[in-house]
Amino acid sequence: MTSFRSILSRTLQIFSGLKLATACFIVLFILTWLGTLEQVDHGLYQTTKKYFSSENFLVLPEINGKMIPLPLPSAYWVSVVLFINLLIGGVIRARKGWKKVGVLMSHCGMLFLLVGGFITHHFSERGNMQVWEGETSNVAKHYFNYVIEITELVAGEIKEIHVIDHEYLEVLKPDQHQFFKLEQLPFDLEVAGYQKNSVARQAINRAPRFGERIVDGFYLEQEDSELEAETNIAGCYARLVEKDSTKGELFILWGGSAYMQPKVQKTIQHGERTFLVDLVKERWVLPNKIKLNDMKAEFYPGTINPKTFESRVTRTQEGVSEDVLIKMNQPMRRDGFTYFQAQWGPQGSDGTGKLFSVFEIVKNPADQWPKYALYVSGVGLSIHFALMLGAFIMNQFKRRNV
Amino acid sequence: MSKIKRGRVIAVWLMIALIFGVILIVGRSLMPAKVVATLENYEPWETQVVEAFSQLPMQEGGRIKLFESWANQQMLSFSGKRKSKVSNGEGEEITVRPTEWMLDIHFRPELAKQFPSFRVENAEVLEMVGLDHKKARDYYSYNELEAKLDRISELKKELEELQKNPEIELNTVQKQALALSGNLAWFESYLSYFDFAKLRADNEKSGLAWSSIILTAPKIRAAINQRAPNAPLGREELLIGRLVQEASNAARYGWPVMPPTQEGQEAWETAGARLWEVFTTGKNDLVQTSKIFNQLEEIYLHRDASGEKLVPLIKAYHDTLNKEQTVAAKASNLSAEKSYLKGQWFYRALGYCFIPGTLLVVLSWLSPATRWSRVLNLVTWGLSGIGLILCVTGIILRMVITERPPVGNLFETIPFITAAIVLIALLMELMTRRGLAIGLAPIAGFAGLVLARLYELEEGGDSLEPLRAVLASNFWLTYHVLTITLGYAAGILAGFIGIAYLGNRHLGIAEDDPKILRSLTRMNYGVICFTLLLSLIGTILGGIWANDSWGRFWGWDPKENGALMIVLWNLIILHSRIGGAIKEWGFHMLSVAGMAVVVFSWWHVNMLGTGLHSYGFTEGAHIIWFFYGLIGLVLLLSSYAKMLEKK
Amino acid sequence: MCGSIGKSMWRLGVIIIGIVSLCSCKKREEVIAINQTRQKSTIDVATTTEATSLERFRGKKAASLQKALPVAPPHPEHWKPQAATQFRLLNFATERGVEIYLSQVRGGVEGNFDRWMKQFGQTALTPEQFSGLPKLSFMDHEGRLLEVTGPFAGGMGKTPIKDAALIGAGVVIGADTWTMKMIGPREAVLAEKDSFIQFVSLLKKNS
Repeated sequence: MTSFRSILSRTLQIFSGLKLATACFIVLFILTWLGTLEQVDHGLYQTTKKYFSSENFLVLPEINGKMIPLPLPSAYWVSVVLFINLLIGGVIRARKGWKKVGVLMSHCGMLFLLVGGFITHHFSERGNMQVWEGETSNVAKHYFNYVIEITELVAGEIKEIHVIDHEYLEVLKPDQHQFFKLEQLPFDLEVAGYQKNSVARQAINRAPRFGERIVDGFYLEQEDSELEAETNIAGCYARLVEKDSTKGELFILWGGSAYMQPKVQKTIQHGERTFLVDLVKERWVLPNKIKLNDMKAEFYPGTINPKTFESRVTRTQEGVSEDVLIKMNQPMRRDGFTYFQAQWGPQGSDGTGKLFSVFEIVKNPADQWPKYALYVSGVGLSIHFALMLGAFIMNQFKRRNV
Repeated sequence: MSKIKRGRVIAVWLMIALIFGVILIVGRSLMPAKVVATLENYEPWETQVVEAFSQLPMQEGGRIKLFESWANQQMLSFSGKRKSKVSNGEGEEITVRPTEWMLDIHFRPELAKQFPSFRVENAEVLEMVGLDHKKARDYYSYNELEAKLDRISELKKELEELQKNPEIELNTVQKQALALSGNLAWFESYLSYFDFAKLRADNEKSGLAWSSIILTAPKIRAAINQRAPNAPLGREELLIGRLVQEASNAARYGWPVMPPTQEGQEAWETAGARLWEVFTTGKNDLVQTSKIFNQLEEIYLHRDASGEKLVPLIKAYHDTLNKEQTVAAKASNLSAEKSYLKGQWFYRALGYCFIPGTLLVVLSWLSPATRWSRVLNLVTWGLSGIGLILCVTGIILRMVITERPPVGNLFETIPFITAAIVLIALLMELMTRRGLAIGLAPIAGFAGLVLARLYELEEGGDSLEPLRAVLASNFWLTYHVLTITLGYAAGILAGFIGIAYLGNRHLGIAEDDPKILRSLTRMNYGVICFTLLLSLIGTILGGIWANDSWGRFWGWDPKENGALMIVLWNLIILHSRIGGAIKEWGFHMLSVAGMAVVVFSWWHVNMLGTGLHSYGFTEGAHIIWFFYGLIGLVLLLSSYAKMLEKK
Repeated sequence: MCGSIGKSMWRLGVIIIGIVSLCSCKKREEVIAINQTRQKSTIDVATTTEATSLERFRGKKAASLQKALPVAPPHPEHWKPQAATQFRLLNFATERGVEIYLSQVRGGVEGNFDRWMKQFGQTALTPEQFSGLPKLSFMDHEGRLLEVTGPFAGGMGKTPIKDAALIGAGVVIGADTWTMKMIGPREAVLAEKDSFIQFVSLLKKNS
């Protein structure tokens, strides 16, 4: 029993120690540095995922594309350790007193910031919504996640939309098959050859090089992930499976279909009934509707430098409407959702003609937390700095008078 | 010679070597040009004429600016210089500044064609365009390049084709070749700009001139519109059409001389664009347009006349512009710009204050703690103070011109950080009065303003240009950008103090006062705390801004990471000191290394070519590596000296 | 003292690694039951017609253009496929700067051949010259083959080539004129002649 207690107290000692704090800072510093350099070769999304997310526990860094055999813990887990260290050593067990009040405050602020980061990492959602002038939207698309959506078409109308979530798809390797039991539909779906980034190639233009399966004149060719991961286009082969296990014909689903004008969708006849199947970026239906009344893009006279771009929208929720101006640096925050002016188009437009606006939509429970953390730690550090400066000047003054 | 004295001498020599190193590496672009060409019978422009032209307002690059600003930018981007010297063939040297150079191109094209306006830095570029490469970094005149125009335009096409492929990035030589071909095209448009005024010069008796033809434009358009539909154009109609086209094409690009006369239009136009509009859309105020055309024709007709004759004509045009709303609203900005250009504040602070100050500091190391060194310190104090005032004046004038906080682009960080370091150093000297911090002020001023000058020359462009939409928030520019930039300044100052400590410790410059090392440590501790405070608050503020404009607090963007690295580095320093892992020496070593972290964040991340903050100064890589090398050398030498100490 | 701290560290490490490995070892299931649905949104508007793969992966416009396309045989490895355009239904290029493409055009075979001759600064073909041109099978019909060399004047946004060659085939099928041609630096074009003729003669009309 005593040994357990001593182990506990020693563990506590290590976890609350300054050495551990310093070690965490050093590792975080190195990770941030390497994670910055690696973006040049691998893009922001992949690098961030590798270095800073909770998925990886260890990271093998690369410099100029060459692997360095020095495994480092990923920044997420280092931050967890740092949090514990800060909580125990920097706040609970720290010396308290008037002289230390500034340091204590700033430590509390940092704790708060780390918790905010944790919540943002795990519980925030983001997507983008594109609306043309005069049109209305209540849906945002995810930047990276692809899902399969299946819906029945009854008399030209779309019914309920069934979704195969991205987490089931993105773990699939190109050589894996996956059976999805669609409990509310009269058939099931089998997916194979899922690719995170792919091109639908026409066999008459280029014959498959790796024996890819040709379906209806097309096959899916694997591509390396793009540096800007949001431009990846997923693809897969799929087939219907009847409830009695008879398999239907193979077809290809490709994310690029979503960009075709006019709109095209894969239709499936099942007996008398018609269904639509699509591989699309995850859609996120919002509790309110946004109508874009006017999109204004201004340039500095005689240049292509944007001066400002702003959208006048009408937001409708549960029958109540309000007019809001959303512009750069001035988002709309409502009910935990934040709408940002992200882009506008069409590309190459000089701001005249019919325009569309793209809003970035974020739901982040910790949205404003950094601000509070800043207030606490900023005040804390300022107090501490002022105390020290005062002492320093007093000291100098005394010396000179000696 | 005692060991200690030897140390001092070493320090002095090291510093002198460094200063010469800087001058060797960057001096070539900082020195005024040598005589580069002989132009027979070159007559300099009268000062009053140059003065009158340089103050003409114009709208270009999205803001109202002075002709002189525009000329500066153009000369910089053509030749990488702010002035050139020519000989007039009689052994007389004439300095040609940007406004004069621009006037030559517009009003004495034949002379301007002989002027070596084009910098071709690279022998490979010369080879590409088929010129004999005399030596690298050479200057060529239009006449010399003219024979190769076909080859150059062919090259341009090829390179532009290459550029369309998103996977290909042009190399330096190709970029320079493309820039050269672009500059040539601009030069040609400037040469022909005043062709429209020749009609009047050639028909002085009949009074035929575009300024008067413009007034008949509605009649001409009406006559053409009265034709039966689909009837072919008549001879006269074709002729006038061709004349309008020729005249407007010749002045299509270049100097925007025409303020808008249409409701709702903001952009100024070139003479050619206006002429074309008058005869095609016809929505402009013809009387006003004709008046300006008339004034420009007058100026052209009297281009060779004496100043007494010419200046009133320029003034008349100037007066017309002053009545324009776009100009009138910016009167105070323009007068600030005039003082800014005239004062050359940063350049003077460098030349008159920081360079002599640096030399005095180095001299004072030879005999520290004597009356002699105290006198030198006092003079250094004065020089640094004046330098600071000059620097701050420049910064304030820029604020008046741009109507925004002092830092809005990469260039503006340099004088701001320089001024901040000098100010903090002077304040610290006031507080400590040990003659320590004062030594850092002129050295920091010297290094900072050399960098500023270099950046201007390398980048060209208009560092006063208006802000892009995402940055256009004076609130955030003040709070986030200024804190983070001050954080850089403090971080660099900490490095300087670290070097001062290491120098003192190993070379024993101030052996007479043993407390000096402790004092430096205390000072640096304060500065490191200050750096942490500013960078931490600045970084979080940046996150809050990003959360308002991009929808996320943190996105691991390179610039964000750079700021975080500064914060972490200072946390490492402070916590390992509190934990006892490092003592005085280690503390200063880490703060010197911290300077490299600041430079990484300030400059290096911008050169990675990725991320949201990627802008500018891609050519400055060699300076950064020189700087890293220097810091590495200091750390290495100091570690070696530490080892010797132990033995 | 030191030893026991080390020991406790070690135990702690084991515990952490254990927890982490438990968390990260999620096995993929063979059958996944799907119950997830989402609400209908403003963009969920149904298309009325059934879309073919061609329409889904190339868009309806491009698909209608391509439907009339002949069935192509495998092309030589070094002919790199380029993006098809309205005027280039099949489009290839080689590294030596040769462009090879199939077009559906107006103006008959003779008119097009004349146009090509002019691009090389040469006079139009006389009827005798035209009927003397070699024949080849082109989409199961009898087509003609033209070979021109000389300076290529450019035009339509193309850069001039001093020593160029063009080898082109043309055929009229019903109301449509089809041409397939190969243009570029002379030697590079002539080197492709056999592959070109073989490719053209194996093109089949789309039924």
